[in-house]
Amino acid sequence: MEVDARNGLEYWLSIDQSLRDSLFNLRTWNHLKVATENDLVWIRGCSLAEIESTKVLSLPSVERYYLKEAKLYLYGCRLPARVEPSLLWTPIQRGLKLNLPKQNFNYFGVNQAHTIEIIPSEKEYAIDATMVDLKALQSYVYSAPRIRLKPLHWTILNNKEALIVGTPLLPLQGADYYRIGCFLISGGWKLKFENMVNLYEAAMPDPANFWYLIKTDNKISKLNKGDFSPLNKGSVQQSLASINDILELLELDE
Amino acid sequence: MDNALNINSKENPFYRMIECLVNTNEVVLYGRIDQVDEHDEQPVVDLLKRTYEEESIGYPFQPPPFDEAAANWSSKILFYTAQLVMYREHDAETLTEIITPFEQKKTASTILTADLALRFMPSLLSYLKKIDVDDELIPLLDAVLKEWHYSGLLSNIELEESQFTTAYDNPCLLQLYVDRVIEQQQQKIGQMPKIKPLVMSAIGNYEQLFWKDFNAII
Repeated sequence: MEVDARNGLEYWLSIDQSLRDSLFNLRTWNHLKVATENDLVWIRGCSLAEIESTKVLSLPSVERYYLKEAKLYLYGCRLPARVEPSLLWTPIQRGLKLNLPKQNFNYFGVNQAHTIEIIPSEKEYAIDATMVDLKALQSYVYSAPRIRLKPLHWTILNNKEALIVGTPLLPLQGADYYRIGCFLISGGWKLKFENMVNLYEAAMPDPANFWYLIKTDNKISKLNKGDFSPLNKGSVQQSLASINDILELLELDE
Repeated sequence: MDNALNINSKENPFYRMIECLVNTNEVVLYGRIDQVDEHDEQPVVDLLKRTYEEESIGYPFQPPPFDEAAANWSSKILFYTAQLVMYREHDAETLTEIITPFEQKKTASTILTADLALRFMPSLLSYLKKIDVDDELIPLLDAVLKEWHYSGLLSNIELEESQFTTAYDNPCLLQLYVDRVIEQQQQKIGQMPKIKPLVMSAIGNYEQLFWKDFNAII
């Protein structure tokens, strides 16, 4: 229970039972405790700052008290108003329960479906991944300090681009992606129904082991997390060498 | 080649110790040996050469070539040190004969090659210090680490500006040196004029993340 340390006083407030609904604003201060006495609702555990805040002052017909030596004094008064009542206290989060709206059994739209889509958005996200050109990455890692490469993992897409996951990002130009659930989404875009992300994630196969990269044309690519390897000069050089071998073989075939 | 390796690993305690060290970072000794046979040295140099070539792919810039003399010297020094730490029956006078200085010029090549073995020296040294603070061997090893301060960075060493010889102008060695300074958070060395700009460019805007008290007052 947080009590103002400056004067060691604990502040209480009471409100009429009929105005109980107006207390729900206070649920954000989860150190408060709530109790009921006849037609009053009591709240205890307020600090001085809280008892003076607009949240409390805006409560209709609120009575504010402070507790001193087992007596309750009206806030700003020096004579005790009453003896501390002995009540059954419950934490405010439990004492003031939220009721969610009941399920609507007359709703017949349950068969409706939509696909995962992304739309342009102004919302800002922290970037978690970048797609850069392989050549640019190669020339950067040639002389890069180890500390910049250590937190990053990378893989190669379509034999020509490198996807780097991790922060801080490298000082390279590239397309940015951010992570939400198991999805990697282009920066500047967001899921059309972002609050559905948990459902989307459950619908994707094996979300623990795969990233699903959504490009701006709404095409989803599936990337195996096991294919990412730690970024260092050796892994880049060797991967590029093997890619060049493959490309040469393909050319020979043609 | 396989056959040769088998013979090596069975009858060459020097090779077995270095092989185990390179593969598992653990020191295992196979009996007290005061003098390594000359024909046992070449397999160890070959092993270190393979290790160096694998590892140097990941070095920044153009890695300098492997140096056989440095590999031979450093692996023997490490082997003898492990022997001295383990058996502790040697005379103090003979120590300088065992811990010999490296006779050739130090280049980026020799420094990076010798580091393959010398990087384990700081752990051995700190182990030795736990057993006996007054051991005669400690100042000798300290001197080796101070001289080979790229490996010495892994322990606490005092350095002077003048110890950055021209060998440290090699970009590959210098970048690796700076990486190690940052990883070990060697604040005093990080503030040296030769190293500081490189540290700053490596950590860039992420000083808070990579090295919080880099610029703190010492």
